[in-house]
Amino acid sequence: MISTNLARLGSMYAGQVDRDFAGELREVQDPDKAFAQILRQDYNDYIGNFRQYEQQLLGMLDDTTLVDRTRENTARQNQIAAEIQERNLDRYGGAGMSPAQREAQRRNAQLAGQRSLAGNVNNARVRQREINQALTREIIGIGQGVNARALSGLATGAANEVARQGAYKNARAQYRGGLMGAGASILAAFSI
Amino acid sequence: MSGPKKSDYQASETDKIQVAIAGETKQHFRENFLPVMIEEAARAFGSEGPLMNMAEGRANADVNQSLSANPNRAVVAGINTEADRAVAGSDMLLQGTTQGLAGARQDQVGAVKVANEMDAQTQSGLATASKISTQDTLLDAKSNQSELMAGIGAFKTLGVAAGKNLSEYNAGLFADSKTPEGDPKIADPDANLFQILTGQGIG
Repeated sequence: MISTNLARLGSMYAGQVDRDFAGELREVQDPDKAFAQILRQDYNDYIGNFRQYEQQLLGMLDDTTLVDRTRENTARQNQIAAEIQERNLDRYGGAGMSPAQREAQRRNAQLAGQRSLAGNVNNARVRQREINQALTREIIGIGQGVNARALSGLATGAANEVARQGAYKNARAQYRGGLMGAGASILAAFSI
Repeated sequence: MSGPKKSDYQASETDKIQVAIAGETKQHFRENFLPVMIEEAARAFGSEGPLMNMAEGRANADVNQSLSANPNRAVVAGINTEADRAVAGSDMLLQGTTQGLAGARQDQVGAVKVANEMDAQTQSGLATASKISTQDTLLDAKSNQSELMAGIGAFKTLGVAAGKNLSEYNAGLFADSKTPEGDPKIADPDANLFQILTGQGIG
């Protein structure tokens, strides 16, 4: 059954591309060297293109954009509401309001505006904290990955070094043993 | 008997094509995918303000559309009209800003995660490369060690043979011309050291 299926692999099939793209590829002469060069370049690309964004993201952990912006936005909205009201009053010829009513309306708007400012800035602080905490969690996750990879790389390096040192010690011991054995045999042969 | 041929240790056709395809795929990634990743990261970190502006703009539009839908004298004269507009506007803006900022953060984290994944792959590759390199070093060292030990072995064989020849020469020269086995041996008294050690000094 398997040999039948393998024999069929040589036959034509729909979607078969006749151009030999694989044959057009350049042969890699020294895969080990090429691999090392690619990895070096990858690291350079990563540092040059993305490290700045990592740093930027880390700098956003104590971000206050939302709070700052809300403070500005709320003050501006109070001003816009007041200006709209002025224009509407002009449009409707004062809308039949007495100066006292208008004053009460203005005072009410100011109070609401201040309450809104306080409330919104507080809400903004809460939401800013949520956003920053979410970012912190993400960064911790990223950081753990970075740390794990660094440790893994160091462990590999250390293991390789231990293997090299072990091989060197073994080789040295074997060499000395061989020399001493040869010397002893030769001395014995000379009957010394 | 001949020594090992280097051609017997060349990469197979499968190895060659695998490496060639991997190299080409890597180049394809660099030329086509890496620029997109870089662009996405730049966009994510450059669009925080625009995203918040857009969300705030929409919130502002919603508020003004709903509060200006039916302007009339009674509404304008309402005691809470101005206050309601101010409160609604700033509340909605906060929603918009929050959504814009949260969206921007997600994009930024996503871009850094993607870049980090690339770095992870590089580091994993580096670990593999260092293992390959160490393996190579160890194989080289082992090979050198084998050659050295073979040399010591040959030296030992020669030394033992020379010692044996010298002993036999001395026995033939100074004793009763008989080896321990009882074979008569005649030593040439004019033999030089080379002849003695190589056994040519004994007949």
